[in-house]
Amino acid sequence: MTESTAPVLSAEDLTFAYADGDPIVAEWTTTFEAGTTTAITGPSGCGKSTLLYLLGLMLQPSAGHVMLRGTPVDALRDAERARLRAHTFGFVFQDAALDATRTVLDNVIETALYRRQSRHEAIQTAYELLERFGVEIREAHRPGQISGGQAQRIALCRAMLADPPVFLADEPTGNLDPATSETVIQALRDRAADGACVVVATHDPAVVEACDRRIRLGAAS
Amino acid sequence: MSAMFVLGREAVASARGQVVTSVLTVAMVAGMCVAVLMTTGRTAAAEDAALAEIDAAGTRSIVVRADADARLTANVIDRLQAVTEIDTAIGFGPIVDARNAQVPDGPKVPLRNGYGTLDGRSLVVPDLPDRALASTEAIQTLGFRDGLGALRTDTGHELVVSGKLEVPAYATFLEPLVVIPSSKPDAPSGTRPTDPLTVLIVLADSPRHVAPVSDTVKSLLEAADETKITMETSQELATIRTAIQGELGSYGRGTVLVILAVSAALVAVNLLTLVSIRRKDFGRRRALGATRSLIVALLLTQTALLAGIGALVGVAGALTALSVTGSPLPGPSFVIAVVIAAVLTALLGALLPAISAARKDPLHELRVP
Ligand SMILES: Nc1ncnc2c1ncn2[C@@H]1O[C@H](COP(=O)(O)OP(=O)(O)OP(=O)(O)O)[C@@H](O)[C@H]1O
Ligand SMILES: [Mg+2]
Repeated sequence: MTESTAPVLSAEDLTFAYADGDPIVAEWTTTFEAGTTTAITGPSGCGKSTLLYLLGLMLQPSAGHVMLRGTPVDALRDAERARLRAHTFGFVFQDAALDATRTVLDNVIETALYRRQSRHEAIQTAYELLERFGVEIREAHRPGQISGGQAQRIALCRAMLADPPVFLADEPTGNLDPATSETVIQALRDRAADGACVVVATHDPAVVEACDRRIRLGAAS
Repeated sequence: MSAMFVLGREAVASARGQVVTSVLTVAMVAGMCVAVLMTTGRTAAAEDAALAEIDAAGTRSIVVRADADARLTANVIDRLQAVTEIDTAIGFGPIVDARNAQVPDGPKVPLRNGYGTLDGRSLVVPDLPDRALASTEAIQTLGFRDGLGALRTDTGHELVVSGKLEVPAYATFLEPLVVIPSSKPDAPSGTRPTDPLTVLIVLADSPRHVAPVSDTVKSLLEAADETKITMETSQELATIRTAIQGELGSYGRGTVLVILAVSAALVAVNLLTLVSIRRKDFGRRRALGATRSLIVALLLTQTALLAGIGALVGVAGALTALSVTGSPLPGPSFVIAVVIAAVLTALLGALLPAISAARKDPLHELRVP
């Protein structure tokens, strides 16, 4: 496959099992195109989060490959994979995973350090994102002083900071009211419209409804 | 903006987010500096004092004794003064017994002609006939009040004691010391450069030069009759000096090494605790794209900054404590060395925890509740 026609993200015979467990993901092959949104659904514990971690280069597959624009990237050197996580992937964790000791603003711009991006520039973008997602709290607040829904939106701002070409979100609307969910769904669609490849693990019918494509994982297999 | 600055700012922010660990690190490094300065700083000062005492006692001196007929003459002093490794040379002529002129059967003191400079005081006083200088001990022996009085030698000559001599430690063996300054034509033993010497004291400029200087002195004594001359160098004292220096030095080194090792271990335990408590944070950083080297650099920078603050606090505290108790203060180079050693020790202690933090598996740590 040549660079230009290769899908931005793909999985090839992807297999993964946690230490001495049955495979959570087994010989899984699929492609994710740029400019599309994909919803990954399935019962709790079926491996949605695990799949996103594999695609996001945070877990090493037991077998098979994760490819970026046709090139296997799962076996790259650790520093290379870290660089891809910082530059190419935007990731929203299911539990937000914020740094409780730092301000909201510091949390949003955290990855600027890993990309060696200008802090000033990152702060500008961070303010825009926080406003867009209606996080109406002082940027100096620390995550201990905010709600779960706000935390999730802050995590979303963090993931969107660098306009990553691949956007992986794990239950991004899990703690949100329908109106705020709608803002998030719109943001995901906007990312795709801007050319990003968006993959969302979700239980939220509204999110599933809004996605271009659905992948349903079987019961814990 | 330089990468160092960005890293430094992130290190400061993250140190502020980890108050307990940060305060502990500062306190440990400050404590290490205080411990080093209060023990070894004192030892160093004590060593300096002990060495100064030994030096005063004559580690640098060479004493030549000669019989009156050994042909050791005063002109040797001028030649010794010209040698660069020699601080000073003082000569004394043969002894003539003398007593307080007012107390004919009082205690006698040894009266000598003096040549050269004794402890900064020139023993050449031209055109003052029949004058003598006496040490405090001699004045007491003679029973002079106000330090002044007349002397009569056993040969019937009379002199006036008109000044006091400070006797340095290397010349105390001559006490009670009464000296007739030179260049006085009618003095009992004469004053020409060919005047005989019975005692010659040569002071090397440092204990290390005692051996070469004694060789020089030997070569200058060739004209004299070797069988009537004895030479005492302070080589033995110099040996003791070296021994003391080594002894105190190794005691100090041992103490410092123990303090540094304990401090490095404390800093390591402190940071390992932090890394273990905050493993999710390190996992998150890794998951979001921080490289291992960035994590290591971040923790080391953080530790260096905190250790720097701790070292300044500790040094300020220790120096204050030392000066309040009136203890001698260690020199600036010692203090700077302590600060550098403190920061390097903290960095050494931080290395293992930093590597451990960098090796946290991004995901495993994130999923731990
Ligand atoms: N670190 C781990 N070690 C071993 N097993 C794990 C680990 N993490 C998850 N699992 C197991 O792997 C399976 C898949 O977990 P995963 O979190 O991917 O599910 P999920 O589909 O995201 O569930 P949910 O909808 O509740 O978020 C579960 O059975 C879970 O117990
Ligand atoms: Mg999940």
